[in-house]
Amino acid sequence: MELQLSRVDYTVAGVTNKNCMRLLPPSTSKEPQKVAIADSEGILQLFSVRRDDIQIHFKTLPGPPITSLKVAGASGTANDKIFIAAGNEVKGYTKKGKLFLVFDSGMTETINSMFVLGNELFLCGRHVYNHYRDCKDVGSYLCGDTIVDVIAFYMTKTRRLTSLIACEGRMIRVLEHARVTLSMEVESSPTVLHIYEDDDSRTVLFGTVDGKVGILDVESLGGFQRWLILNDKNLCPILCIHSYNMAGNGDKNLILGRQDGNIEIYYVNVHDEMDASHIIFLENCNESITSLQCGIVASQGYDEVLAVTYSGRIFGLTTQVTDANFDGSTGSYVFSNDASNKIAKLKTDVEELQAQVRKERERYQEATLNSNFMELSAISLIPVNSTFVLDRTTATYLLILEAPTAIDNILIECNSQVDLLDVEKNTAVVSYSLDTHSKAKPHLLATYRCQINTSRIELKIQTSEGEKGVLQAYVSPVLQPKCSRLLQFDIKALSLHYRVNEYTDLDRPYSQLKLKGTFTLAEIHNWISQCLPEVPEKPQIDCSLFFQSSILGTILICAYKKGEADFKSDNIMTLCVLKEALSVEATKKKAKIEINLEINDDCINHVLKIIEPQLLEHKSFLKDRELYQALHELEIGEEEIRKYLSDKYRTILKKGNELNEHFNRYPNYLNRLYDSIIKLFSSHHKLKGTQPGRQKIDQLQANLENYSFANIVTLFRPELIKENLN
Amino acid sequence: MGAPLLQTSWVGKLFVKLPGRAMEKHLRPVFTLELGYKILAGLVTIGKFDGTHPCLTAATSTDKVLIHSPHRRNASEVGKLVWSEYNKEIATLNVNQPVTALQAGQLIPGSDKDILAIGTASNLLVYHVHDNKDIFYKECEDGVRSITIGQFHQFKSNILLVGGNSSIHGYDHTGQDVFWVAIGDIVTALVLMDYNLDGSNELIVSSEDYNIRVLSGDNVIAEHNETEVVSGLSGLPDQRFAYSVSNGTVGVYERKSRLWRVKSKNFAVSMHQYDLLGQAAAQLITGWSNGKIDCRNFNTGEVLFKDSMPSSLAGIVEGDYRSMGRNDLICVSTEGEVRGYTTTKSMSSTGSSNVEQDTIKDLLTQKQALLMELKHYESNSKYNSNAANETESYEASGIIPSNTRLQIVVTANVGEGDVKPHIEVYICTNNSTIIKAVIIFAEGIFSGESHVVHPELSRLASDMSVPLYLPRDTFVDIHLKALVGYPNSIQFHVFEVTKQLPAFSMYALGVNEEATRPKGFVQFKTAERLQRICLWINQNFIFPDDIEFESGPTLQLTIKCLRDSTDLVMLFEVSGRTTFFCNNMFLAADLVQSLAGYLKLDNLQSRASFEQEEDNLKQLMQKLSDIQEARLKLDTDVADQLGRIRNLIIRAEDCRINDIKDMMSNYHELSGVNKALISGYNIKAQNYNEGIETMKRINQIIQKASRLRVGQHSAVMINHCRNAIKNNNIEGLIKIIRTGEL
Repeated sequence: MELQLSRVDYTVAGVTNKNCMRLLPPSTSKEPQKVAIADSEGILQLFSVRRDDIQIHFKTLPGPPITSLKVAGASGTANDKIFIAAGNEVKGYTKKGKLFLVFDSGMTETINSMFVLGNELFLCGRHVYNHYRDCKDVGSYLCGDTIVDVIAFYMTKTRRLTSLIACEGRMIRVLEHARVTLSMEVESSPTVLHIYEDDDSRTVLFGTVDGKVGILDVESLGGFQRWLILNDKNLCPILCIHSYNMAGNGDKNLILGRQDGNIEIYYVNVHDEMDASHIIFLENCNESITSLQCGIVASQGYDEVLAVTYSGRIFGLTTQVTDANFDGSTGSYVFSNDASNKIAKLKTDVEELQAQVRKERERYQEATLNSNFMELSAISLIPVNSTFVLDRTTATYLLILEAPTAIDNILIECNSQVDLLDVEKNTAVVSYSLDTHSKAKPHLLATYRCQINTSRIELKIQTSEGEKGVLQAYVSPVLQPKCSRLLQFDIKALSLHYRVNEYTDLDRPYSQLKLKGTFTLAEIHNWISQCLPEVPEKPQIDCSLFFQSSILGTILICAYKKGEADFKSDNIMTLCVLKEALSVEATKKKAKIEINLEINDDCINHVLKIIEPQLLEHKSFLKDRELYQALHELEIGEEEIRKYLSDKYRTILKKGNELNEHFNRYPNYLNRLYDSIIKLFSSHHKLKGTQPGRQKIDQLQANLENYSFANIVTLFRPELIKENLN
Repeated sequence: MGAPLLQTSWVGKLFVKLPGRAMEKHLRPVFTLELGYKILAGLVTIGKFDGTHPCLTAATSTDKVLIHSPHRRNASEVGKLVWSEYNKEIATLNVNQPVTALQAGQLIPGSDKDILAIGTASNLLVYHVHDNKDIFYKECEDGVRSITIGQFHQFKSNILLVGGNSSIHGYDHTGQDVFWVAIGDIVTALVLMDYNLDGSNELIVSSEDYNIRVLSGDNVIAEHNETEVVSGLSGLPDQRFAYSVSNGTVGVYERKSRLWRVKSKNFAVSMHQYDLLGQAAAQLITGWSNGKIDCRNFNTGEVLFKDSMPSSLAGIVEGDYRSMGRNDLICVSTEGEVRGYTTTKSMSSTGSSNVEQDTIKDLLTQKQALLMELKHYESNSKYNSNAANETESYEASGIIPSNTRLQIVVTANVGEGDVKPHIEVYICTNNSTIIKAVIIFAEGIFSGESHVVHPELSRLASDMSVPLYLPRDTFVDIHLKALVGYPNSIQFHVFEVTKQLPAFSMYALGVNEEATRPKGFVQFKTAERLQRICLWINQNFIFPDDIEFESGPTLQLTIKCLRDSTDLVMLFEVSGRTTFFCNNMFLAADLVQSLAGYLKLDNLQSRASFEQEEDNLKQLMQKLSDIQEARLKLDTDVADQLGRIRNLIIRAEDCRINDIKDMMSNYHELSGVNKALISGYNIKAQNYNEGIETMKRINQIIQKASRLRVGQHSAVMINHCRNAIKNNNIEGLIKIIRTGEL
């Protein structure tokens, strides 16, 4: 790493949301900056770091969870006013702690994200975007998607006030006067927006849920420009971005905070595509980073990255060298005065707290022993941060669970066919349990016993399409009194599909599923959202949705309105699953529906053609691996034997690591492909009204192992041969 | 069982958890090198074959033994060793059979040169590397699974101890068989160390029957039961030794008590003690199957340093590899990578460069957890004081009456119809709350380490019974976690209960007192009062009521085994005579050992009769001698055929010159002989496997029979058995098993 930074821990706050910590600009150039932090207990505090202590300037009383904190000021004044959003209220504080603004937005939703620019205030709920000027409503916009972040700025050329909202449905929308002027489609869901300013140019960056950072061209309304940072190494969501000159060479670096606790500093050049970004610093702190900002916090002259984690740890990564206390003569460390003071203070703090906790514990215990009174044990809900996203390249789900305190164990239960894959960095000991109670359904029961100080765990889950299910995770922290928090994740019937914004390849052959009946738009929308992931919460005006299968690459187009729905896909298996799932949903609602399915037999050839390259690739990998293992058995250490090998074998020997990596990344992938084809075969038969016999499936399996396109097509469509014969 | 608070986490008590964060600074290797061969895990040793220079020695995946001699001066040695053309420091020795054990050490009295012992499935070769000669070569019928060399028991000079499939043999430097003991299963590791500080070494043996035994001569002086196959052992100073289990556990015993253990999802390949961090006392270095190397304090198990190699570790040894006058720690991976580390002072105390910051970090973590707990109590009392005004249903957020209790009852269920007999763990709450799920953590009784019962939504109730099947007669700690709340809650209270299931849990008190006594029995005399024996019964069995002895000449219990419904009758007489009637000698042995352990008996002699086992033994002995006979015959067959082959080849080649037609027929015949030879080989291989199996079963019976006695009597018996087997004295053997004496 080019950069050397050392970690310094300052203090703790409550559980924090995204965007809840900011540095105040320095009042004089000599003084370190003050830190404003707000947590989900509703406490806002402003503190600064002294040599051996934290000086708190003010601290508010608890209230509703604070969801956003910004530092701004009216134009012409210093940007030192603190704004916090909690519930549907915005409050403003001066740096002295004086409450100067209480503003009830009148929004029906709670505020999720906020942006303040001079006297302009932008507030976003889940779906509502509101723009206020001097606290007067000047416009609003209702978005079908979930809004995750908002920023605003004045365009360089036109000086027009423009705002951007990042939406979960892989869309970033540009608004002017609360009207969408441009919708920019991006490849993966954005999580955060950031304005990168250098000299006089301004670039808008966004982070994604799968760990990439992209550049948007807003000035010339060009939409998505390019990826600045790719995700080959780390697929973890980006939670916060900041730009600052950390390396001290005049260029601004990009600082990222991720959900897996990584803080990464990159060298970037946003103007030149050929000048590739590279990482210059990395530190992991095992907890998601909810916000970070760079500045001078602890001591004058030393830049640092100040970061806050999900559980409320506040620490800095400073350029100041803290290693100086090593006493070379005795070979041991001596605590500096400041540090010993700090440690002593913390120790007394902890001791006091321990005494207090002991007292409370006893009281709680007494209550549990008292059988006369109807007292209750009400432990507030343990917050657990979770993400459940589909990794499209490997067609597996990534489940991340994070608690604000150490986890003892996690119980995973699922009522549909899923497999848990091993994750290298996950150190928890997994143990599967056979389900003895329900014999009929496939059922997963597994426990993860976590190692010490693990507050966050990543799991990879392989689903298969067909039946919908629910994955339940019971997270039990070590914390007393012992509780277990239940989280549920839907596994949709077509779980391996993801939404695409648009699809125009009309050359594909399509089969069609038509639905007619007495259902409302809301109902059909709801049914579809039961079958497919990433369906927006509310039906949009033009109700057409496009999906692509992550494993096969086939397409599903849904168009629906009141009383009528039309599904087109080149994969009849998709339609078959959809048909069953929809009729289940309809029966639940007791709605009468008429289902009509038109099968285009060319779809079979088409789908098989799509799968073919993947199938062949994975087959050749498998073969290479077998060969590799055999070749490796030979004494490969001895040059002379290597000399006699053919070029082909020599290359195979060389790519041993590559092969291993491939199989780690795509475990069991070939079988999944086989499985898809067999399912396709069964659905094909089902739709034709016949049942494929065991024998036929075995025949297909055998043919898959000895792959030939023609043979497989004949198995699917024996009528083709007859036609040819005739 | 009380409220959730009363219990603490079981894992905390039993297991030291692995720390989540990696150490910040890495210790750098002082040297690295590539051997260029794939090394077999566990088969790495180091020897000073010339008496001064250490040579890393390892078994490769291609049936060779590799000797790395970086200090070799003259390259002109000839003999069995083949020096590599490409790497002048590496020599290989062709074994032509998979190597199963490898050990270097001093065996020859008066010589400072190490010798190398190489074990395969059927042979032991003791080789003098420096002089390039075989010291002795032994056919080992019982196989070679592990080897150690050193001083043991009363032997004057070093002996070579070989662990096989079911026994341990000791050889002196001439190859003379000087020691023998039966072990019930494959011997996985042997370590010699002074366990009881009596000035001579004891032998610590781990075997595949999950056992660790400490032998002083023939005498078993300590025994530990683990929950999986014990795969490795390493001696440590101060009467301690480290062990590893194939389920990923590593731990340390200090005499009879376990100091700590950790479990991870990988398993330990190799353990070694070395003072890596310059702490004056050594640390335990462990090499793992995923390539991790960690260094732990062996008193606490705390990780002080970590590093990792790209592939699984094959072995860790120490030797003065840089000729610096002090030993380096040498780690070898299965891909042939070698890394050397040395004691590094500057890593001192905690292994991190930034003690201050770590202290602050830890304190802040503590503070955070305390604050959070406090918040829970605060919100609890706030909720309670305001309970009347709460409008929302409290069931969803998992609020339960604070006097909720969890009751637990463990009983034996003899089963009915389709239900197999089992142990039933019944739990229930004392109010309308339901049990959403139960997780039971325990070792060795499930396929993993936990068992979960998660009823469907429609079947949720405030009680639940969990059937358990214990595969073996050892006590088990079960750690039960019950999630208590309401059907639609999103948070549950966790009630934790830890319970020890006694060793003989899988036995139920029979209803029928008149049942006939099984024929097999073991009988012995103790000087204990029956009341004390009742205590033992109540502690080791789960009967519905405690057994109490009131009066009468005898106390008789009729018991049924839940595994195979066999009968067990225990008869205790006031005179002190005790008889266990059952046909299972293994069970009888376990009972004797358990009772003797409880009563702290140092010596116990007994009479026994187990007709079934005796018959088995007779048959097995017969079979063994048949097999040995057959083997001899097969060997002569092979010799015959080899002679014919030689003959045929010469004749055929003669014919090439004289009569080309005859050549064809000769070669035809040769091919026939060849086929016969191959089929002969297959028969021989099968014969060999049968021999091993038979041997193992015989050894198991002897070992169990020795466990019918305690202390000196047990050792004496083993001694007699050895002689009986040597002389093939079957009747004598049975007599020994019956009476413990010849």
